[in-house]
Amino acid sequence: MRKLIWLEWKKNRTGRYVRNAFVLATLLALLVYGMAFLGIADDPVTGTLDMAPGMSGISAVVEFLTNSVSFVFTGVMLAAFVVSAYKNGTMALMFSYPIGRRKLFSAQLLAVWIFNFGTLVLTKLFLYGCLELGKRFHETSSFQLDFQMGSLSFYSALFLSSALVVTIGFLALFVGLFTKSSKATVIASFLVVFLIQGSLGEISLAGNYGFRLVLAFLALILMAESVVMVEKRDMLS
Amino acid sequence: MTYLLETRGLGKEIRKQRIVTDLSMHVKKGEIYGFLGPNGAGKTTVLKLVTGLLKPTEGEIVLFGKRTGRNGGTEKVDRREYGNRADRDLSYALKRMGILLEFPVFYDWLTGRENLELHREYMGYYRHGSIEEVLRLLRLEEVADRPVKDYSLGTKERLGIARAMLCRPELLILDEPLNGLDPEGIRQVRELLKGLSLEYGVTVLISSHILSEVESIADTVGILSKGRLKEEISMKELLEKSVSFVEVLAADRKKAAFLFAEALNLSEFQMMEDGKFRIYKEGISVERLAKILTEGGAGVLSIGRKTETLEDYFLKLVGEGLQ
Repeated sequence: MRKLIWLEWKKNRTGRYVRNAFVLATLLALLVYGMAFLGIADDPVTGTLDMAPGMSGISAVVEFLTNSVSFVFTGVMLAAFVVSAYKNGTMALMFSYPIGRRKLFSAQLLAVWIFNFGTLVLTKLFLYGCLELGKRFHETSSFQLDFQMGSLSFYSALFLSSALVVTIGFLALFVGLFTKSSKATVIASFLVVFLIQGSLGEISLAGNYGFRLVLAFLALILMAESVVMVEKRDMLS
Repeated sequence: MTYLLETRGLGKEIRKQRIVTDLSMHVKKGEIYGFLGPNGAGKTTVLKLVTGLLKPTEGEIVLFGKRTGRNGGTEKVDRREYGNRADRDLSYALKRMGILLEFPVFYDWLTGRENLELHREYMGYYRHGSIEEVLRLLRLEEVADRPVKDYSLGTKERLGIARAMLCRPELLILDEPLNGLDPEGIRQVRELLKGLSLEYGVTVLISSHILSEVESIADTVGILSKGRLKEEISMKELLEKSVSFVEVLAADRKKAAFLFAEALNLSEFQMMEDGKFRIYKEGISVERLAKILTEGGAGVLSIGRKTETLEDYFLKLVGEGLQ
């Protein structure tokens, strides 16, 4: 399985995704640093923080930004690794190899999952690291610096939330496979962002971990179903 | 007789449309089997069934002596257990096969060489020098390090054949491999397939609508029409069965037809689409026919004795199917 995952990364030119992830992480770090210490999120008239309710802590901003980007990133990768493979015929080529279809399909899903999980964890650590470093140079911050990098619970929460976010991001895949469209996959990933991160007036599901668990569970069920069914499906094109 | 590939009563229905019906084909070890049929006859569907990309609706496929189709046929076996075993056996068979179906698909952004390396990794085949060998055989050395997206259709086709041959398969399945190739490329591939069959004992199943190309290399042909195998015959048998006839091109066709029917009292003749007559009566001499037509005022533009080609045989069979 390890080799199959590695081959997925190799043939899909994952170097491009590494570069893009690095650029995005750098931009996000600059943005978050500016918001926290340089006052770019402050109201220019009053000089106080001008953010939506519930976003006064910097961790909420970091989570919002990194999770949103991760949903879209996962959608783009799923479109390229899986949906396009069905469309351009390379999936049929894969299924003509002496390897079980379930194994091949699982390797594709795992290649995307592992990459995005790793990227999300590293990006979050990078952003929190930059903020931690900023604390040493700035006496005050526009936001509450509500994270403890020295605490074990910080890391367990970071890993768990990253795993949930990436798993939920896979919901976009099933829209893409159903519609047989890469564009639909990416659009669906934006819809997931709005669903999880957006707010409608006072109503928001952003902090609702129960809802996230339900969506992650749904994504896991759909993943398992897809893996089981892939063996039985005809490759018509 | 043992076969490398055998289908028994194979059938496939896709979206309630019958594509393949009761197909039983037999491919012997080491032979070149030409799989012929007009467009839409179901050739690619059969090849996809054989390679496991499609699952049979009924019937079974036996590859290298093992049943690989997931359909349990009429046997009362545990379908799950049967399915798992069939999948294992299919993997075992796929390892020994080289496949090129429809138009060849590649990772276009990778080079030809990288595509071959990737194929080798998935097939678990690591013989040193194998990539260089197929690149040389298909004359692809010069373009090997260019991205496939820059290849012409013919070059992609050759790379597809190279990939199918890369892991020294025992059974090579090629679906319309001569499409997009120039005459030199066609000749080259034809020679290559002949060589593989003769020197290495590779069994080749080749589908094509270029009948003359298959005719020159095939040991056996299977003729498919509307999803049914109309005939499976060795080229040797076909030659023995081939009908000889006199072909005439007359200046005045009406008068010639009248003379055949009235003066010669012939009933076994037909006029072809190109305006030529074919006279199937045994024992009739070319000289006598020419004399009668000339004296009768029909005029003879060309005349000679000929034997039916595979194309004639094919058209006759498929034509019957259409009736």
